[in-house]
Amino acid sequence: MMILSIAGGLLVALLGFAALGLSQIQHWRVIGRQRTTMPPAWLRPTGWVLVGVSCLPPLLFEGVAFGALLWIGLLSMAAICVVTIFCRQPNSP
Amino acid sequence: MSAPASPDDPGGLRLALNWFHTWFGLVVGALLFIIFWTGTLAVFDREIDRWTMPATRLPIVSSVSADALMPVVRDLVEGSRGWRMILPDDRVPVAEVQASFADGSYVRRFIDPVSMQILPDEGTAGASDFFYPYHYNLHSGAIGLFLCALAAVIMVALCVSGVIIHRKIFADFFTLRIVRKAQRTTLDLHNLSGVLFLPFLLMISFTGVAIFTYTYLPSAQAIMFSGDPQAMTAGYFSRDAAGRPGGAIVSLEALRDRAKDHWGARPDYVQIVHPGDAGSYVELRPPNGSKISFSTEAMWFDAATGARLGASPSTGTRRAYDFLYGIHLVQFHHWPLRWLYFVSGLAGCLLIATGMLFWVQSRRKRHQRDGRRGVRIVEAFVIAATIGPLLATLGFLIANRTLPITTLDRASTEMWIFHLVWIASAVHAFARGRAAWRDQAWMVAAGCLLAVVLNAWTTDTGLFDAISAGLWHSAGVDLSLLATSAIAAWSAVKLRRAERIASASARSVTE
Repeated sequence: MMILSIAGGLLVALLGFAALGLSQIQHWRVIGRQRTTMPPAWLRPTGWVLVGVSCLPPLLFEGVAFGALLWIGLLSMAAICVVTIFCRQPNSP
Repeated sequence: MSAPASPDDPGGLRLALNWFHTWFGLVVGALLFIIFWTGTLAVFDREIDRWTMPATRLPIVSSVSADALMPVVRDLVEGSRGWRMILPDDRVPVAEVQASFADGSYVRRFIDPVSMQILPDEGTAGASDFFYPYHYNLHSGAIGLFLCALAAVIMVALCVSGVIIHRKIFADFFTLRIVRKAQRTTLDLHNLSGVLFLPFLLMISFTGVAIFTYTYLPSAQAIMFSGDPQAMTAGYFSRDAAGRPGGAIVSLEALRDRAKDHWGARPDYVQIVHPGDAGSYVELRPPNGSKISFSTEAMWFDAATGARLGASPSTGTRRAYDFLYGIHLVQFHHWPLRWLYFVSGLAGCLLIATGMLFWVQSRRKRHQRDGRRGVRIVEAFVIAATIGPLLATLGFLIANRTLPITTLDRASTEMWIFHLVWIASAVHAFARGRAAWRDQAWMVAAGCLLAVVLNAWTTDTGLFDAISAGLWHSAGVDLSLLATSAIAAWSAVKLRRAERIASASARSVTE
């Protein structure tokens, strides 16, 4: 159960932050081949919703007190992962 | 400091806070770093204890009867004014006994709950009696306590001012630019560790302030309870010794069961006040493994009759305080959360170190051009304040594995070595200047390896034996040391490369 809540929360937060990051033009431009297009408009709201939803696995499986603390920590870890992925892209500044 | 030359700077608040953030961050940074570093170590204090006390590296046991331990404990606490016993739980494999005597002496020993043997005194304070109190009193009593309380307030202010002066908090949310201008990368790392870990940093520094109330507002209780001084200790039981011998201690297991009826969980903490006296009583405190709150409640029983003397009232204020206290103290048993606290604490260390480093990097050229010595002095100060505590900690661990057990005052010798290594790091930094970063990074890498090797050499539970025996407490410390060693070596290699590039470009400019 603990594994499920952590892996679930982390995965959803990762996707959320990745979408939020890609909705920013400087990160969108260094990912893949789409150097000239603008990031799609749906990325940003999707990112916010996913980051919000990522609280559910920890809260549901670990309760409000432990779940909230766990969520705060997982958000930081997910954001750090996204930063690491972005800064390791070949075209990254 | 002059106003930043930027057209979008509104001045005013941001400018004022920039001044505060720059100078308070630099001056208080050293204090904040040692507090964050020892706090991060204290997250795993029980595990570091096992590493520094090899005789206590035992498998975790399920549950232990306090009564069964009593015959062993009695030998240790004979003639004491009071003693306490902390039973093993799913984190600590040994029972701990602390006793204080009338001559002011204090004994702390551990008992193997399976063989019922008193484990040999290993002459060390370990993490729980050194790093843990260092986090809030800097090993210097009331002055240290006050300095830490002050540092907590400044940390909250630095977090808030940092958010306000950050120009592009959302635009740079995911941005780390690893570029040739090292200053850019330092500032990005400072911003990232500050922004991405902001919830943790605010939470830990705010709860740090909240639980220190009595240190900086000692008169608050006098004002609050001025009309009725008795009310302050209402519900708290204590009584003096009667001065005549009392009966034998009742079954502690029976008392633990009665406490369970009250709290829903059996207490692991048992304290006896005035043992052997007719006024002797037992204090029990609830276990804290399964909830966030760190309970400050207690229950009292007469030691000879077992009659319940009282229980501290559970009020809303107390529960709120216990919750804030618990968030900061991390006494709950939740391994993923414990690791998250540890990583977040390290992020706090990174935040402070990069902040101080940025001060140096952004002024280096200007100071060199003007022939000022400020940068060189501050750089040595920053090295001593950030890598110094790491080296001092490794000095403590290496001393712990090499000092003979017969050393006079072995525990305080370890603490002396901690501080001497720290001073040596500062002297080296002043002597070597900028190259000290790389030198000391190599020293950290070598020190970690040496600690792991010495552990395998001087104990029969080195890394591989500990893993195969499932002794994850000491194995975890060894593995963390190896990881630190790898990171330090990697940093040293990177620093060397950066220096080569910098000196090459400096040559090409002069040619």
